[in-house]
Amino acid sequence: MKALCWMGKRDVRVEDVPDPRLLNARDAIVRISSTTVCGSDLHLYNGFMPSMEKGDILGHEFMGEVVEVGRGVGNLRPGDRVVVPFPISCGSCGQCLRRNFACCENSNPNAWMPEQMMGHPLCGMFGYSHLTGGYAGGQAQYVRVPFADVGPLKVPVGLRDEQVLFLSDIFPTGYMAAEMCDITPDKVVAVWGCGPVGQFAIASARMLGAERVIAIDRIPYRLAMAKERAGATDLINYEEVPVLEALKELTGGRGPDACIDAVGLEAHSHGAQYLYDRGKQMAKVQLDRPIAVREAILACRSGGIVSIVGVYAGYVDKFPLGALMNRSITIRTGQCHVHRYLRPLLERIERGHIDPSFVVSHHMALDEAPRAYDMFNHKRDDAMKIVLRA
Amino acid sequence: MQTHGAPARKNSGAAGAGLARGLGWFSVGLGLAEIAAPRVLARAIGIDHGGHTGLTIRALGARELANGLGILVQPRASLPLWARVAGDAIDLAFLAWAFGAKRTHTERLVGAIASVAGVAALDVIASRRAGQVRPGVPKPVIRAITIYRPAADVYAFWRDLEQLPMFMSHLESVEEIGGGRSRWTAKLPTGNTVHWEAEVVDDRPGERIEWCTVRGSKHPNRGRVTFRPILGGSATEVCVEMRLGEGASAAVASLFAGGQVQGDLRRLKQVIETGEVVRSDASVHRGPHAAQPSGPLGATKKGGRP
Repeated sequence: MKALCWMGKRDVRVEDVPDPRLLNARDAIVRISSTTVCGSDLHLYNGFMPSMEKGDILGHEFMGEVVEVGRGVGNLRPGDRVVVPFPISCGSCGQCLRRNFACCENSNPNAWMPEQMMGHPLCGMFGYSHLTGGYAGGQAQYVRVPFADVGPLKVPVGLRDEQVLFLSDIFPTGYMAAEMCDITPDKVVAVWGCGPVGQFAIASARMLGAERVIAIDRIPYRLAMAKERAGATDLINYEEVPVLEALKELTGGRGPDACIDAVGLEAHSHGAQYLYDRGKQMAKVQLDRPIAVREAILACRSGGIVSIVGVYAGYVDKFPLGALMNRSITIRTGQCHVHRYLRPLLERIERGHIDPSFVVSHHMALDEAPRAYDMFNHKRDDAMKIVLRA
Repeated sequence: MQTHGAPARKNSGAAGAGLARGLGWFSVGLGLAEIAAPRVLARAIGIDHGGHTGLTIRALGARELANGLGILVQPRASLPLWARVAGDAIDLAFLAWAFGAKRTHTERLVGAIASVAGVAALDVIASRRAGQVRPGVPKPVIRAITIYRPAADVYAFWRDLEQLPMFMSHLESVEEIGGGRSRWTAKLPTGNTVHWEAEVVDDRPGERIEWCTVRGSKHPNRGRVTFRPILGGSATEVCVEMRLGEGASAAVASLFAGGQVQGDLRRLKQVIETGEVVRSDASVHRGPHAAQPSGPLGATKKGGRP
């Protein structure tokens, strides 16, 4: 089959590789119909995630048709059309029982690797380095889906791929970011980053009743989408105005009640701080550029919430712990527990509360995936979300 | 509750660290003196202070200083202290060599050699204390995991010893041979297999199993697994404590045993909670293209850390 393989920093290629096979009784094989490049794939693409190996198949946002199931999968049959959550979850460990699906204790065969780095293991994920298990990803024609009786959601007929594809990651991730903000109508929410996750965070915050949502980015087409499609009420272009001052101005000096970091470890900024973090990252003494989260903490009103869904990998410094502690700020964060949100969000799509396809900017064939990475990485041609047809 | 931390430290740990710190500061002081005033020092110990002597003493001083700082950072570690012993040997070699040189003040030199030898003796004592090595007795390996099943189930799974290779990846087979005894076959990373016989020496259903290799075994080891119910009995804390016999090979094996036992416990949890050892593409397909879909099975048998 054809699959997009990571061959090195900014080098991804579509290669011919062996078809996946059932390895465990609860596996299914899915023929991919649509897949897409995630902002977090760019962290792999740009070489910021450790434990990538040449030839690894990328992709953790995908959907398609079940073609084969193991004997332990009772709820799916060949022919079913499914969308698959990016975290791999067993459904029966302590974390899955608590519905913290992205903290599954059983799904990562390389559990010892993240345990060394992060204190405890991470769950398995599709196509996201060997730290998360070394599972082949879904930017391919076929994929093996472990615990297929737990994760995949059957898609009702009548919904197009691009209406449900983003249930695999970015819609639930953005929604969880907003949910962690304890939104009530009077609360002001600020969102750092207007990439696809940021768009869904903004849209979700509005859906959950926030009357004011402030979107922060530097790229005009992203800010425009935040306002016109996702429903942001105010925009801040951080290359034009100082963010902290602008936020104070917009909130009567209090600061936003909740701040969402939808940026993660490749944040941009200007000035000395950016050069400092960029330099450390290039020297490999720091994996992350925590610029957005620093700013979010400083901006947040005292007693407010900082909700982090941007991806981070390692240890950071110049972290405003003093502000966090002294101003009673709560941090909420996590890889998205996608399984929790699949059905409720599918229902919202069916009822017409939201049509997630608004983020789609391009359609391409899987063969063109390397070009899609390049475009998305450089924000060329107003690239927002590029859907690949396998 | 059991107390954590190595109880052996109670006896000599504090005193050992005190001596080590003393030696650390001594190293720092001597190192600084060697760097700052090599010629004065050369005169004091009665050696020729011309030529390259100054440079040599400065180099020795830099080593001494680094060594001293190493000890002060980790006064309980044996490695920096053994480095001091090695340093003493180097110093003694230089001093012995100076005997043959001209312009040597013999009496002072003898005094210097005696001092270094004295300090070397202290270094050896401190190193041995820091290592706590009563050589050949490796520390026990203790690892734990929580399994969301009642203790009786987890116990029963473990007690069926022939099932152990399902999650203990270094085991090839376990055969029950009657009388509480069993024959174990393990494969080494080198590809060789080793065998031993073990017997269950304590067996309390639902609570614990303790086993020990039979007398005369070439690969002596003993272990204990305890099952502690939590969450009203719906989950179990499984704790394994293993001691590998004596000697150098057991000491080496102990270094890897922690990771091995932890991996085994993870696979046990997978088998009990999900029905099987969980496999990713990378766990059955080694080498380049690790996360590609697997090739034919059989190349490697099980997932997880080798």
